[in-house]
Amino acid sequence: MSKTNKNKQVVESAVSKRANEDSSKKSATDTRFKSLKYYAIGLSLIVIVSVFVLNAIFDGLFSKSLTFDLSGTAQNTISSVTQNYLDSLPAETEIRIVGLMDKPESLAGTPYEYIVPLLDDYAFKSNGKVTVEYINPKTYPTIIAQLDPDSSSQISDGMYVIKCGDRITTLIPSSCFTYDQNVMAQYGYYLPTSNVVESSFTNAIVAVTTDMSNKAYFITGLQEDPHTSFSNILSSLFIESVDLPVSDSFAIPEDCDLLILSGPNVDIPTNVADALISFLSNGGKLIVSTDFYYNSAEHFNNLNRVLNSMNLNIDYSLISENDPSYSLVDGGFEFLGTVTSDYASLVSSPTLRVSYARPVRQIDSTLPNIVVTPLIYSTQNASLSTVVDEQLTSGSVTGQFNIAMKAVNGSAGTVYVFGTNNFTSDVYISTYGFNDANVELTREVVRGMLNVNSSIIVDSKTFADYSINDNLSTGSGVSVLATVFLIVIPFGFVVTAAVVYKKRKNL
Amino acid sequence: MLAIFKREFSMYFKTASGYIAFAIFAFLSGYIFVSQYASGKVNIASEITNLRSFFVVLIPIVTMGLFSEDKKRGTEVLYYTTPTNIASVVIGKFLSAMALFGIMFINVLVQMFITVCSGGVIDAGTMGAIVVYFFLTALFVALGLFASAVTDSQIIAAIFSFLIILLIQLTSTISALISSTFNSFLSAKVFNIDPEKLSEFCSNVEKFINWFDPLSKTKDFRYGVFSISPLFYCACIAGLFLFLTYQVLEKKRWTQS
Amino acid sequence: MIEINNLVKRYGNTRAVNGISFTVNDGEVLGFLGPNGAGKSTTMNIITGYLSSTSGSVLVDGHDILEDPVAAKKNIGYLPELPPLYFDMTVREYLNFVCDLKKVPSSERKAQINKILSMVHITDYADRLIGNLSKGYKQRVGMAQAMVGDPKILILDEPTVGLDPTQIQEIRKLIRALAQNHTIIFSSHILSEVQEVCDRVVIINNGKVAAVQPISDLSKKLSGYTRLLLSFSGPIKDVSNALRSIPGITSVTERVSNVDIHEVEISVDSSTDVRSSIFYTMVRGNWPILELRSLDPTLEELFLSITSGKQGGK
Repeated sequence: MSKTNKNKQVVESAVSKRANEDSSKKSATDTRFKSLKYYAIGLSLIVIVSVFVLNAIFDGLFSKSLTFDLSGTAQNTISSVTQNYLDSLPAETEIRIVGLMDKPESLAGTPYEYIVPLLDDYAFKSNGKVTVEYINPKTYPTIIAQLDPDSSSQISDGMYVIKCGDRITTLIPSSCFTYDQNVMAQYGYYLPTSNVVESSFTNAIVAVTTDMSNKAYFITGLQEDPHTSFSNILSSLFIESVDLPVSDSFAIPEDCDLLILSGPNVDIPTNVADALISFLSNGGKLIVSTDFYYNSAEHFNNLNRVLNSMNLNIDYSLISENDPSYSLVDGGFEFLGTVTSDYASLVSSPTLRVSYARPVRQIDSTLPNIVVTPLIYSTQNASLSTVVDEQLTSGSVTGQFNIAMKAVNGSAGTVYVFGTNNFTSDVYISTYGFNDANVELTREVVRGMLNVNSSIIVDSKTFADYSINDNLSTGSGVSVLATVFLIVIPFGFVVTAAVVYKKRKNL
Repeated sequence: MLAIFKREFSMYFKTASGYIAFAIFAFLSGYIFVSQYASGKVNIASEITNLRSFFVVLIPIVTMGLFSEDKKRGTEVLYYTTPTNIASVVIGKFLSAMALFGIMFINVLVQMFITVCSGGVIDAGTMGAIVVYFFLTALFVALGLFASAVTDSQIIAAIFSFLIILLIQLTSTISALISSTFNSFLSAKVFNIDPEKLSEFCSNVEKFINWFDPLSKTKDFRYGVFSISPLFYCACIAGLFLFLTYQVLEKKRWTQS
Repeated sequence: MIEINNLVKRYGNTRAVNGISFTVNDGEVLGFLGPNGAGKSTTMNIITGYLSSTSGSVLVDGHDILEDPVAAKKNIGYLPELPPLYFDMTVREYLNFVCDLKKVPSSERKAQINKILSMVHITDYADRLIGNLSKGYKQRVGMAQAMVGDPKILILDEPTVGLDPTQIQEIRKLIRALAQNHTIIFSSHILSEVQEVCDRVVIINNGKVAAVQPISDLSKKLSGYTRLLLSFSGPIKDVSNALRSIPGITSVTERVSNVDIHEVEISVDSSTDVRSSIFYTMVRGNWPILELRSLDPTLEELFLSITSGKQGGK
């Protein structure tokens, strides 16, 4: 009873107190609520903001140092060669890479799969020296005029433009890959063989940021093989490539450091031969390559006149390698040539791939002061064939033949003669990539001729190959897999779901 | 935490929802795998990357009921009136959904095994894709959990997380769209803006938006390029959503309505 | 055991609970009585930590529910108005889950669950799906859930609402059984139920405590307050006047009138029994009595009586 009264009193006193304190308590009440509310909202806001700030800081500090390319071929990461070159550029350098297209979105299965991410990596790792933009000239027509006010380069949709200051160069996405030229010739489609995106873009960046130390002229107009890859190799050695078409008024420019006759399919005109002879006798440097394939009817009389002035000759015949451990195909027209000891240390492989080779030999009427050295030779068991009455007829002579030779005259005029196109032509280089041993030799030859010390050589990258064993993808295994993965497993889960549901529903 | 995890995880299997999610995932991954296999090239990294686009459906299925059902049925009372920490409830539910996704992934592991047996390649890119897959799963599950906590309707929670996940997956497209819209709009002669500056501005806008996009941040993993900061970002965003979920549940402490 | 001090809960501008204070003693069964919307559920939600108060404090076994919630909640088993049941779990699965939540050691778990199941008489239903149980059984599972972990305090929010009379009886029996070693707060809007089960009652209305008193006081108050219902045939005016003249009758109000059949409510002073006087008065007037019965007091009347009692006290 007394307890009840006490309780009553408590209640009553509370009631009367409440009346007195009503106004003051209301404000106290509100502060407690509000402080909790503001605490929660404020804390949430602070956490949200700090998450982003923290990430921005983390990104800025560690995004580069904590990135690891663990892929076998580092397709989307610039190599240390490129990185070092970018680092060596002055900080104020501004290189614009502009893709004249909308930014490609679905990359898989397109060339952009390798281009877009790699360009992002350029921009990311260059400390602001490289910017990458995508501007479609269709929606923004003035961009071309803006990039190239003098119309000095031929710029069109779909290209990448690399610009630094006034210097400008372009790249076509498809040229950032090498393709199997044999497949192209035989089946008419492009089979990419390696990724030279980085090599192409780094060379382009080098081209717009560094003065080329040397100039090479390609003699054109002789139905010659394409030489894009060779040009790329030259530019990685800081050598600018210029085309020099044959004509009646053919003259070798004063600034020509290196003259290249890459895979001509017709003989050079007489006036060109004369110009070359005098070029060599004045200390000029020449690289000649040709083979016995498309031009099998060509004797190269004028060309041989030039070579004879250096004690060399390309013969009208086709080498067959009969040693089975060197021969690569039936008939031995493709085989492994051996590198002479002088050059063996420069290449990673003691033998190099050679195809449809003409023999290169030192001629008998030896001119004085000319030193001739062989580079590549066949085995003792090689034989020669020639075309007789439009039929390839193999001769009976067997022996060792030279496929490539070098000759230097007294005035330092130098000529390298390759009886095969496997060292200079796109047909070969683009099939095997830039890190092929043949390309190494080509590179070392040029380096030695022009005394080039510095170079920016980015290797080509091979594609990741996800192929499974051929016979599996067509066999009955696929139907088994389809049954298991598309029917058995999913249906099994659906049935389990139904069983479980039904079983429990009636518990 | 363990209590909540045990219940939620076992309920995925006692109700049919877990099996349904398994069936959908198994079918989708199986379809991609088998069609790759039939073409003679199996790239598990690309399969996993393609599977991520189905998060839009899978995540809402798995997460929509986690909190909304509790609210609707009044069972959330249990979390507040028993000696349980709300934070551990949030984490328990999050882990149960993650565990479900982890088990789902066994299907892909089997496919990887078949790939290796068939002479295919499992490379760093595949590993990168797997790592990213789970970090993104964590991010999206946390998001779905948050969506489930703000409403008491499963449907609304599902739609909410569906829309946000869709938005995140389309971020790079949207940012490109915004940038090009800016560009075409501001390049009109009236504004008289230096075109070079304009294009720089637009690409910066695009870059800024993409900075927030977990997918474009992690896109290089599938090529074998691992980077810590995108993973850190995903983990932070996942943590952020868990924190916000916790705050939403704690709201009961101060809400006046 | 529980000390509630000046509890306020505001929803926007309205106060669902407006300064409630009371204490619950160890081992007692406290009835929490009030009409719908009086703030009973809100108060219970605050005591159990489901909602937080706008101001005021709740001490459970000396632990503040806001500052030391885990320690406070350890002592409480709560059955909310809507039992927190997972319809897609079986009873046993569900109780196991609650054991997990309440951190019941796994060694004691099985025995405890079995004990609770038999106490609430649902052993036979232990492996049924909760969603498939009838309302009464669901309510029992809710009770079982509150009992898990053997908390010292049980807080039951309208445990009998919506049940049929036999089920209500069973629940009341259970509460009485539990009362032997638990402190129980038990809310209801049915007066008789509270009278039957509780030691003490807190009556709240409009978010305020209207009275706190032992059940014996309440009964006294109620017995001192009687109403009768009389239906008869005859002229209403004459009858009313004749009835009013009977000593002990304080008021006569007309409830239903047909052409010649009327129903009146008669308020009676507590001290006298007026039923025989009414009979003779009606016989004298030759007005046949069709029905005469006493009416149960309503909650409103109870409040009225409490307020008037207070006025009388002052």
